[in-house]
Amino acid sequence: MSDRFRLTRDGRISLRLHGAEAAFLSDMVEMLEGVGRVEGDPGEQRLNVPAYLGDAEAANEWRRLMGGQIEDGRARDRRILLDIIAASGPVTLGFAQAEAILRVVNESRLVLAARLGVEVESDYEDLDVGGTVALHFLGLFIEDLTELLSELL
Amino acid sequence: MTAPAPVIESDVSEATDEDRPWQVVVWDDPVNTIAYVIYVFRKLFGYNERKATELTMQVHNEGRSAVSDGPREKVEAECYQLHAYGLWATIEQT
Repeated sequence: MSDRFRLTRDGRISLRLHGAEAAFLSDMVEMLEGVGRVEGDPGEQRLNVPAYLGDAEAANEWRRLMGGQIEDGRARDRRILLDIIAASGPVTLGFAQAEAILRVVNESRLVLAARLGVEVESDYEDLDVGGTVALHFLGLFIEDLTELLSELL
Repeated sequence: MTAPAPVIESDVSEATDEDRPWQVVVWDDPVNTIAYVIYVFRKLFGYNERKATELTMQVHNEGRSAVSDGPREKVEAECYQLHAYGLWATIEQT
């Protein structure tokens, strides 16, 4: 595990973001805020998969009932991450804050991968260096945070 | 003259489509990591690590897994939570 995260004695999670990491995550939040602004955005399609297959009416009704709550939750998660980035130093996270960060970073990885054309495992081989590094960084971030949060369940 | 035979109504009525249980299915995708999916199953459903791992490996190896079932309202709420964590989840009747 990187030195980015550390479990504290009182069961919280200490996070230290380096400058370039904070800048990259800030870019990811900006990317997420632009999801769906362009028609046919693969990132939007990945985040908003239909809840019913083969039943458009049920899928649309489910989206009508739940979609707003999901969007509100995602916006809250993004604000939590931006607040932590703005702190520009080590921060100690409670469980809910750490989970919010986990969700928003995972959401970033889903959108970025979708926009880079990752649909099956073998698509990773076709990525350029920038895409590979970005997805790898996000993957490590998720892996480390998942490991710590799992210890707290 | 014999009395007409009584009509005996069955106690067991035919199950309607709506009576059939519903389930929430999680589908494999190439982005969510195995450890992340295991974590989400433990967190949302309270599964122990062994069960969460079994379901996750079923998703990974077979392409999908029915991770929970019950009344429609219950699985719709669970599907909402799974989407909030970025998992590809759908609802279907068994």
